[in-house]
Amino acid sequence: MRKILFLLISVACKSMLYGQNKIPTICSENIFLDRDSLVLISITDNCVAYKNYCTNATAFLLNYINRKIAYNYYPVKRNNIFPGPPVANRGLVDNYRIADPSSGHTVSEIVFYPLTSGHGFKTKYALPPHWRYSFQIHKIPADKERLVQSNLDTLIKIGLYDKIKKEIEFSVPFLVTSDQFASYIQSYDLTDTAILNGINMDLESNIGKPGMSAEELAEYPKKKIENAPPTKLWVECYIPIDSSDIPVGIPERNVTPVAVQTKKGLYVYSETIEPALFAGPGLFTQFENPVFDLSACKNLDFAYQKVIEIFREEISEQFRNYPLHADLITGLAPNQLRFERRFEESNVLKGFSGPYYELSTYTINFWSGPKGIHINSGAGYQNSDAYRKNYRNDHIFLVEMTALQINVGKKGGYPEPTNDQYSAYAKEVRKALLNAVENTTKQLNGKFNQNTGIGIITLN
Amino acid sequence: MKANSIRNFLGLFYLGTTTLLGAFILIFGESRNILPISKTDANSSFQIIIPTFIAQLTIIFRWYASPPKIENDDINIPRWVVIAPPILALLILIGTILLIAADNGASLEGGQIFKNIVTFIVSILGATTVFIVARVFGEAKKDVLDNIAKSSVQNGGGGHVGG
Repeated sequence: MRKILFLLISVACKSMLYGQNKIPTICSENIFLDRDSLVLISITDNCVAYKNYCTNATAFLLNYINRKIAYNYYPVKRNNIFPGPPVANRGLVDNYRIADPSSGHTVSEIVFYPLTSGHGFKTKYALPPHWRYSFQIHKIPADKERLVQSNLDTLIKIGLYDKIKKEIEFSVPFLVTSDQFASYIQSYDLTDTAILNGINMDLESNIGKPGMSAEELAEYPKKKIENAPPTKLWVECYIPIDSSDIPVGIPERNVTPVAVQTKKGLYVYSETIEPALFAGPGLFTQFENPVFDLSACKNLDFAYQKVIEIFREEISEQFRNYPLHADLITGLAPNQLRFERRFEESNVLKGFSGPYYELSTYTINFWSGPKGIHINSGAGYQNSDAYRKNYRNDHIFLVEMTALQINVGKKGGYPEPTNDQYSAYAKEVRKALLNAVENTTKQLNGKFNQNTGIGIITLN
Repeated sequence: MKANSIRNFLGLFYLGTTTLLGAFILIFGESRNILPISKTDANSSFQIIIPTFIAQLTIIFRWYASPPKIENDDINIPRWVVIAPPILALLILIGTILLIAADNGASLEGGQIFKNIVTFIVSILGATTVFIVARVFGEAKKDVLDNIAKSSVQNGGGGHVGG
């Protein structure tokens, strides 16, 4: 009886704690100084508090910036210039009659997003269509707060450090005074309500949250973290510079968040790249999973090539067959497959109702990466090259995205499918991909794990 | 043509068409080989046709609920004026349903066609048969009201009687 009571109390306590602290705290051992720059990285695998997160694969903005400065990838000639952060008040700009010559933006508030594009240009940070950046926060353990803070203070003193060239998409001569930007770190004092109100972002995440409850919506964007008011925010800013690397315009109002301090603690932001699910009607991700474990393979490159060669064939076979019956589209990147079925009767939805005709595109991306990567974000797809330099990329990951529209009859408008139609397709796509993994694994004499859907390959 | 024959014909036409067509759209909307149009189009068609037909049915059944005593029931209307519009409307409707079902969504925009045809027959009946219905079923109102007025006077009441 006592045991049961104890169990109930412990479960209740755990759930209460979980409810209060949803933001993961990075393990203290995962933060250390490496050649004078701070590193948030895993040196042990037995981190209990952070067990669901792999710091190896988490793209902490602070790490990126430290690395950019340490390796001086895109050096700026003048690093003795310290511009302030962008001002979140269009009125102020208008009153001083300063136009925004760099981009012509009319954004009046500070938003969290890298400098991907502007009026008539894009930058190296631009993503392919239907992908977007998202930011999450992670708590710094109390004993490492001072270390991280001192790193952040140092970064502000660095000045301009990273040159970003504009790739001109179309010419807007009267707006363009500069063809490049420089990055720098600045901080905002969030105890000033005017500044806090000027930041039109949820401090916990930059993703506009679909399906929010009325209470959540009323609070959005959230200006508190774990119920504590924020006091300071560190951001990476972007300012237009001329050929001598001297600022020639006002800073862009989109900034990348790096860290935020509240009365309860210090948090750092990580960045992921994920499918923009709401980029258009009918677009959704229905399969994302690690699919092959190559950790037992001695020659990884050979194993990867061999697995991918067979896997591509198997995927093609599965998608070409009943019920998906889609055609392979050729000419895409080596790690991407696309199938289409246009204005044909749907086999997936065949039954008494209908007849349903479909307009479907299945895009499959796969890449190699280290174990424990944040698969749910698809981030590894973008960052796999960077990981490859430092880690053993012994797992193959896969993300499948479906664009689907359904109509009754061949002709007419193709609207967004209903939930049950989505589910029917998700089920078939999942089945096709798992069959492809299983068949590939069998062909290579590996072992297919039915529970995880991962094929364990041993090629020597 | 006898007014009673007209009433029977129109009564049966509206009752049959309203109930069968309504049930057909509700049950078989978005079904393969029967009515292969989307639920949205089926609902739109239902909303176009049913209120008009229900209004006619109400007039008809209100008359039958308290039929007046009519001595000379002959009405001088050519037979085709009464029979042709409903029959043509029915033929067009049945033909359209058969066409859409036979095509089964392969080449025709069934939903749009069905909606247009339904609107078309409602307009045809609105321009033709509705007037006949008003003529042959319209006397009930006056008669009923007269009866009410008479009984009101006999009972010594002072109820408001319009008409």
